Amino acid sequence: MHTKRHILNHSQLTAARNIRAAAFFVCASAFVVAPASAQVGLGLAPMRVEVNVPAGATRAGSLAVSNSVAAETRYRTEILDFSLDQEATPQFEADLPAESKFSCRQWLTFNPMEGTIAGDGSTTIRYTFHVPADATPRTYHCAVGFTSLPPLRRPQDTPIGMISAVRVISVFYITVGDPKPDGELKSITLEKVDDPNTSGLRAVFQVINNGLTNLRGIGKVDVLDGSGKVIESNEFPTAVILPNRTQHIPLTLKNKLGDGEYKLRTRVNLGTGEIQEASIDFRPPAPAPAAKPSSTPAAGPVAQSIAPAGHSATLTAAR
Amino acid sequence: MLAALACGLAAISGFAGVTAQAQPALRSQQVSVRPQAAAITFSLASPSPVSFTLSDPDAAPAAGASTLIWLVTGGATVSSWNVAVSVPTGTFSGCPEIPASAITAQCSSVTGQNTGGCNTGTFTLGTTPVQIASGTEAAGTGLYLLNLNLFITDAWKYKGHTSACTLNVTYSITAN
Repeated sequence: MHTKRHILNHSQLTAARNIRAAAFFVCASAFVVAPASAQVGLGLAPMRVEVNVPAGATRAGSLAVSNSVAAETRYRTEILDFSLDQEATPQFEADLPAESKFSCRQWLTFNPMEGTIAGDGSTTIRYTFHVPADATPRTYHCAVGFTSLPPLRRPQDTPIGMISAVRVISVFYITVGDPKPDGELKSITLEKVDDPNTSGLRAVFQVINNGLTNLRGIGKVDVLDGSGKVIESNEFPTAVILPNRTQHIPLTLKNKLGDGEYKLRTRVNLGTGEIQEASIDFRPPAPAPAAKPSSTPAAGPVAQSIAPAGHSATLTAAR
Repeated sequence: MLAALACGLAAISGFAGVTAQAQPALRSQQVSVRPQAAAITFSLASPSPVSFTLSDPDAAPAAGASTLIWLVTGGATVSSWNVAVSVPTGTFSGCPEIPASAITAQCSSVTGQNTGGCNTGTFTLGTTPVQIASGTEAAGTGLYLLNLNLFITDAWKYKGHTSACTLNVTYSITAN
């Protein structure tokens, strides 16, 4: 009975998805066709390169970079360090000293580093990486970016304007040896966010990666009402958790919550082979008075910690 | 090309819907979390350059807009995509008194498969990439469209210019 109901729901869900997808593609097509001015677009495959190699090994491979517009496009290749900031936002820089112990940037070479791709064409970028013989077992990370270059002839009829470029980035994860995953969901914090299209709350999961390889969480984040009924369910955020650090992973809750007591509960496998569960009880803050409409852009993102409900402020974590 | 890409994907989207996988079950044993290798096509769908008309420093910020569209194939639901914006240099070319930070960006919508959306608030352009949207990849194929509002705040200290005065802006995408 349970299985049958599940299949029915899945079919309904699929039909709804297809209708939404069809509507979206019709709209997207109409929108995309409309502009007659120059566009720019690059394709890249693969977006991730994940390999496991012994120390001292040399490997070669290739990436395909394509030009998705009719006009010829110039591009430039950049080998980059890669990190995640406190908001789990990827940061790519030419040199991130803090990542030096985990960076594979200096192992990589690409050819060519700059070139031209014909309209609707593609090109193959070859790479080689050499792992030093003394590389310690761990997962290293770095990236390569391909940026479209602006046309050589700049528009002269635009007094003030922005010329846009696109950059597509492929991330390299190179694992040397067999480092064991070791991570812990340490805490959950609830914060207010200034976004009227959401609940106005976000959960921030603090995950400690004690190991020397990446972690990724697979699991659920549920919001339960006072009776224990699940009223919102989300996937645990899929951000990669890089080795040997504490990572904060935010998840904005979608549904607006009325006054009352709630529980936020997560059950997640961080890749360690065990389910970790943590929960926090809370009461949503009272909504702020409506602000006057303004013609200028709103202020930047706002996040403010809120206190959990008084009688059950305990974070529980079961391993 | 983009139109063909979007139209051609109508059929693929049906396929993706049929093959949409159930959410991963929680298990007590070790599970593989290594994502598939995805491919991406990332395009600016709106005209370039985006033009602004600055005529009165006391007026409201001048507005413009950009639209980005991207297609992920071979996506995995355990992986995420991120879109960021940055500028290679901190000032406009041809009018160096105007800093890149005079422009703010605000992601107004993201449409597409699976979860994801705009980062809230407005973002000042700078040389450090600022994430404007993120989400989880769809299993298989996912097509996404992002609308971005742009504002430039005029100031009396900016000179009048009759020649081109441009700022290069780079939109970056990654699936990590």
